[in-house]
Amino acid sequence: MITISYLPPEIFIQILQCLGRNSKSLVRVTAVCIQWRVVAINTPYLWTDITIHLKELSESQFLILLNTLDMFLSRTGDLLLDVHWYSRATDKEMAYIEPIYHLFREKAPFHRWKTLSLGLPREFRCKLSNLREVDNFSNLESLVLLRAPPIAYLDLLSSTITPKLVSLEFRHNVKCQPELTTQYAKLFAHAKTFRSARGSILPSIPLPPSLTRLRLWEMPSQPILNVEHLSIKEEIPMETVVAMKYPNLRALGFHPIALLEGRTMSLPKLRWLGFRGNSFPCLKAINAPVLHNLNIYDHESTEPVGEELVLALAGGFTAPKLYGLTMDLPLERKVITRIVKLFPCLKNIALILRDAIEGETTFNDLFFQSSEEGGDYERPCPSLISLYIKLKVVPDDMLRWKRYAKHTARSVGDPFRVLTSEWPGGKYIRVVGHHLGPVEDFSLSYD
Amino acid sequence: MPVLLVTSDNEQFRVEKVVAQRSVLIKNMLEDVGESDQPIPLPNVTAPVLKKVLEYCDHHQTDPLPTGDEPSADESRKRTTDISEWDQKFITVDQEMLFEIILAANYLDIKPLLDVGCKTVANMIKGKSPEEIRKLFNIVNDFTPEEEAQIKKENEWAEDR
Repeated sequence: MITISYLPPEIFIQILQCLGRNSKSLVRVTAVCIQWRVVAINTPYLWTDITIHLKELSESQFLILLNTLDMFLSRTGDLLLDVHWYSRATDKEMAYIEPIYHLFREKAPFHRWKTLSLGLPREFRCKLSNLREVDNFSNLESLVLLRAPPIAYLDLLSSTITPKLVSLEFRHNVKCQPELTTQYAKLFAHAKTFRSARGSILPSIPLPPSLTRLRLWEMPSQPILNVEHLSIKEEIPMETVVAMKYPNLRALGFHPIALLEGRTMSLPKLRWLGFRGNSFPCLKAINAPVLHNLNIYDHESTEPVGEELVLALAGGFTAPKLYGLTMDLPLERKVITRIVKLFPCLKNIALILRDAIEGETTFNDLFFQSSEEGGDYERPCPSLISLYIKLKVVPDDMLRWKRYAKHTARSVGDPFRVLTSEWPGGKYIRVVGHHLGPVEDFSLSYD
Repeated sequence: MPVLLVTSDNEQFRVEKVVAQRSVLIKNMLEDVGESDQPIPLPNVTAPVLKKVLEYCDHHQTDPLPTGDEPSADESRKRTTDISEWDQKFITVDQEMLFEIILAANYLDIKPLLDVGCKTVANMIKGKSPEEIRKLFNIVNDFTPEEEAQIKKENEWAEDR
């Protein structure tokens, strides 16, 4: 009889990876039998996700933590580490930080840290200058600040060269200390990606030209010429957006408001546009000659949208090469038909709908409209290849919904290939037209 | 054009090329020999297991093939329980068949099937104590009492996280 012990070590290691690095389940696996233990503790990668969370620890608990950390680190070989470090701001917890640093220095020096997620309290005042070494953090690629870092820590991080630090992220309410601009500037020196969340106050430094991906809460106060991917969460007046000069922008996600009549925003390289909110007239001002994907989201809207959206898309919005359309907002009846008719190249549509009734209506509108001349059905979007429909609620009559989806997929005909429907806890996929070749051929050819 | 596969127990399966080619091993063999109606021997796979594997390949025949751009380990970890409804039903088999499928997927080089198998075993392990895991997979505890006590102490903090 074939049992789990027949699996070769490389497959068993793959199973252990699925448990999660340094997870409780992985730790328990080391206590099952000798064979499992040997494989687990001799696979360094499994132990490279180091989380230190200092809260409400007695001294004896802290010693156990230190021993465990020592054990984990000794299993990591010389691999690079992902370190997540949080601490509360009490004197006791802060006193624990320095011994941990010394353990790291001995067992896993800072040059082995690949990513660091840091949530140490600003009140931490220990001197860390004695830990400085030439190659500190030389392999650090990603830094996530959960709070504004303590000065000693920022000094330590910025005092060494971090040539690989390309990704920075400030989580909710991280307020950079204005007097520490030099240190922050060093951290940002090679950054390519930067993310910040609500309430964060960014350092007042010129952002480096290397930045190409930005996901911010507010519009940056300075232009960043090379940015290729920009996402702004908060509402922005259209005037500010139009004024920005980002000639290399390939992807833009934003929530514009207050259209300026007569002004156009030209985005010559834009391939992906994510439009949030309900200021649809702002779409009129966008000229994106090579745009491939348009995504319109308005989760908060409860009133169905109709004429306003159609007029915005028909009356100035320029995207002749649009082949992908995603919409997550309630639409008035037949609006989808009018929208898809505006974009003759559309090949992929994804719609998030209220329920199966709206789903059936949508199938009807997209595929089974009687033509004006009578006879065959008219398809407002004849080049459509794939349709994805996500229902926000489970269909009341699941069988009926699946039957209707199946019937639709079967009835549509070339070049239609894939119909996918998802609902909470369920999924249905129907692929038709195998004679047209593998599905990936079409999905890869429009990037 | 159909392809003829022959299992270790000498059973023949005639399948569409597009289905058989979900196996990188078979795909490479077909590319090496060119157009041929020669049967392809699969000495490491029995008929019941191949039947099951082909059921998977048939259902997933139009999925994009893995590109070699593997997801990062973290992404893989997040997806641990992310097994599609169909795959979950497919892989709901007895333990022996589960391990046979995993071994066959490894031999035939069908990475998505191997992933489904590994995730399923991982999900069986998750949340269980060492004793429960031993019982589930019929594993003998070969630690001495001293070793067991030592490991228990060693894992104490990790358990309390």
